[in-house]
Amino acid sequence: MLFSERSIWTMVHGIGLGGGFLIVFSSAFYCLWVLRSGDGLPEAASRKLYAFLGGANVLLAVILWLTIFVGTYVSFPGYRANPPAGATDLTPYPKAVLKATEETAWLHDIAMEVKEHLPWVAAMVMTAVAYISLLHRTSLQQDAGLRGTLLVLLATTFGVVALVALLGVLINKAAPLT
Amino acid sequence: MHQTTLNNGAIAAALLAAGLGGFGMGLITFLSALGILPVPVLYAPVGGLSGQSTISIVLWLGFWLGLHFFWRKRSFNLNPIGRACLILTGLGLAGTVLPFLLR
Repeated sequence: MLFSERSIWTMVHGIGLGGGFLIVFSSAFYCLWVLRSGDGLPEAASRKLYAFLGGANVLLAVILWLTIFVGTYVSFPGYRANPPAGATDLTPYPKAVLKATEETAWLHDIAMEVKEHLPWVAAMVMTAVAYISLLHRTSLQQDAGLRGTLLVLLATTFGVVALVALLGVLINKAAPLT
Repeated sequence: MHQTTLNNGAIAAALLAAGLGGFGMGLITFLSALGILPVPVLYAPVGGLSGQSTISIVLWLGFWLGLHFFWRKRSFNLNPIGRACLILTGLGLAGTVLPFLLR
């Protein structure tokens, strides 16, 4: 078979959900950036942008939580499974493959450890951003400082997801979950 | 500048809870990576991460519910709360990275 079930889930996790986050992020960030100053926008356009922003941020939060749960509870167990004693072919055990040589050990000890933990912080922050932009639109419209805070939080979330995605690519390149 | 608008306590609660939840995840990860804090394994195939993440989520939602309950009818200057959220988030991110970078 060309793609195993494990590799399909890895693609769903990394390309489908992770890639989807990065695409939706760009539109949400642009939208919030345009609304940041709030000057010169016609009322109708502003209203539509706030409505779009709320929906986009909720979608981002849902995608991020799904990415994390699929990564943690579907892909991660296969990654960290221990090979049976005496196994000579480590290919089905990516963690063991990475730890087998000094050259690749850092991909588990640093990259994978960071990738496991970092996104949970981003998901909590993204949920707060989604909640505020969906249910507290009036406050967001009135408060330029709040829009600035959400912009920084959104950018931070993007930075975390982009870093984690890069680490995922490096790990999967060296020891793919086949 | 942040304005103090009527009944923005729910926003303040969401921001501060997110910061506290993120900080909690960072602190739990940091302490358990150093072997100071034993974290229960709630799902064996995932290991300690299952306990760390579940405890952090429970803490985050607990903070959020509690703060929302007490603050939902109050008004705040969101400027310091936004700053606190950013600082706590930064500390949380550092806590999930530093123990693995420095060991």
